[in-house]
Parts: sequence; structure tokens; C-alpha cells
Amino acid sequence: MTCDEYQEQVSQYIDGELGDKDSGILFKHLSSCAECRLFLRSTLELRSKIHDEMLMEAQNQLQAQPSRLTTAFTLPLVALLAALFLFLGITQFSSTGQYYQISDRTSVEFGQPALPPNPF
Amino acid sequence: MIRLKAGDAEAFGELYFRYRPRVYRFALKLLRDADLAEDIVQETFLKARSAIQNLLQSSSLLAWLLTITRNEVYGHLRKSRSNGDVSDEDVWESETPIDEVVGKETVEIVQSMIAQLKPDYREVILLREYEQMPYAEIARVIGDTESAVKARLFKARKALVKKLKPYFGEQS
Repeated sequence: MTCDEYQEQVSQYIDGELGDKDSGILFKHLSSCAECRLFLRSTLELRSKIHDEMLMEAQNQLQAQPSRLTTAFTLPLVALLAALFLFLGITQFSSTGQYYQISDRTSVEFGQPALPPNPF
Repeated sequence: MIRLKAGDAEAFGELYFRYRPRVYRFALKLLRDADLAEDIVQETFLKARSAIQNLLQSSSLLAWLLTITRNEVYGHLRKSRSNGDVSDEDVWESETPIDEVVGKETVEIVQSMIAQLKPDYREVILLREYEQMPYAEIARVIGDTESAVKARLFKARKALVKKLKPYFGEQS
């Protein structure tokens, strides 16, 4: 086999597409061939640079837009807090009795019957 | 898959949301034109929606979408080239001007070199390195044999490594 053929096997090896038997033969050759070893190192470095680019791309995407996960948790949380504040506000309001006073006043202003008298 | 085949619009929306970035990246790196890549993405998803019934249960959704994307890209390239031939023994489509790489980081130089490969060499690098597809799946996407995938990947890598030798040397 020529070095060119071994280097084609290097390409398959780094992709996990070379069988065990051929990998054994390839490594035997690599142990004695500096040129093919350099090809292996360079192809791995090429892959590493591509992965660096993908990592940078992913980081840029994350910085550019809020994640779905954050949105998925934030929106229900805001809704829950809003509902809680509303509930607490109403409870506070009605416990002071002001709610009924305002209702009475509003009913009178709009000419509607006032709250029914308490039969007890 | 069942929801998609039943024409569920929400399921198709999820498919679009999930795969759009990868379809766009593949189209952009093949075409090197952001506007055109956007058009190809739209076309891809329109075609995908109308052809969803042809999708086999066993198929990878990404591979299927990238096959459609590739067909759209090549359709465009065929239209825009007078000779319509994208295959050649030489792997380079154009030379990178030296001032384009001076002062750049190795990562950017690698990107620039990949962009200079001919589309049929560039696509196998994209599918293997960016999408991490096995040879059999790449062969399905490009409509060729696994042997052709092996050979093209090797030629593309050999050419890239040769051009990048000075930059890799600097770092190591």
C-alpha cells in the first residue's frame, strides 16, 4: 500500500469508519511513517478547529437570543407571581371591609340595588 | 413522526424550530450567501411540508431535510452556472486571496478555506464534521455511494491540510 492509501485510511479511522483489522495495519504503518503521522495529526487539528468554530457559533447564538428553557420557566413564573399578588391584594382589601363599602357606593352611584340586607 | 404525517401544524412548527438553524448553516456554507441561504431554507421547509408523506418511518429527519436542502442548493447552482458542471478533479472552487487570511485566527482561516472548496467536496466536510453523520447517511443525503463519500472526504481533507499546514505549524 502507498502512503496515499494509508492516509485515506487515516481519514476513515478518525471518522470511526475503519475496521479493527485495518486499524491495526494502519497503526503498524504509522509507527514507522512520519508523513502519515503528520497527516493524522493535521486532520485531527482540522477537526478541532471546526469544533472550536461550532462552539463559538453556539455561544454567539446563546448570547443573541434568550433560551427557550429560560422563557419556558420565566413566563409561568411571572404569571404565578402576578396571580399571587392579585390574590393577596384582594384578601388584604376584603379583610379591611373596604371592598363592601366601595361596592355599596358604586351600586348607589349607578342606581342599581344595593347589596341585600343581612337577614340576621 | 406520526403527528407530522397526520399534517399536525404544531408538529411541523416544532420540526422547523428544531432543525432550521442546521438547515440554514448547511445552505449558507454551501452557497456562501446569507440571503440566498434564507430563500433555500424557506423552499426546503415548504417542500418538506408538501412531501412529508414520503418520509419513511426509519429515516432521520435531519438527513431527510438536508437532502431536500442539498437538492435546492444544487438546483440553484445549476441554474446560475452556464456549464452546469460542478465536478472536477480539482477540489478548489477559488483561491483565497492572501489578504483575506492575514491576521486572522486559525479558526477563521479554516472556515475561509472550507468555503473555497467546490460544493461537492464542501458538502461532505459539512455533513461529516458539522453534522457528524456516518458515511452511510452522507451517501443517502448526497445520493452517491459510501466509497464516493470516503474518497471525497479524503481528497477534501488532504487539500485542506496541505493549505493549512503553515497555520497549524504556527500553533503547535
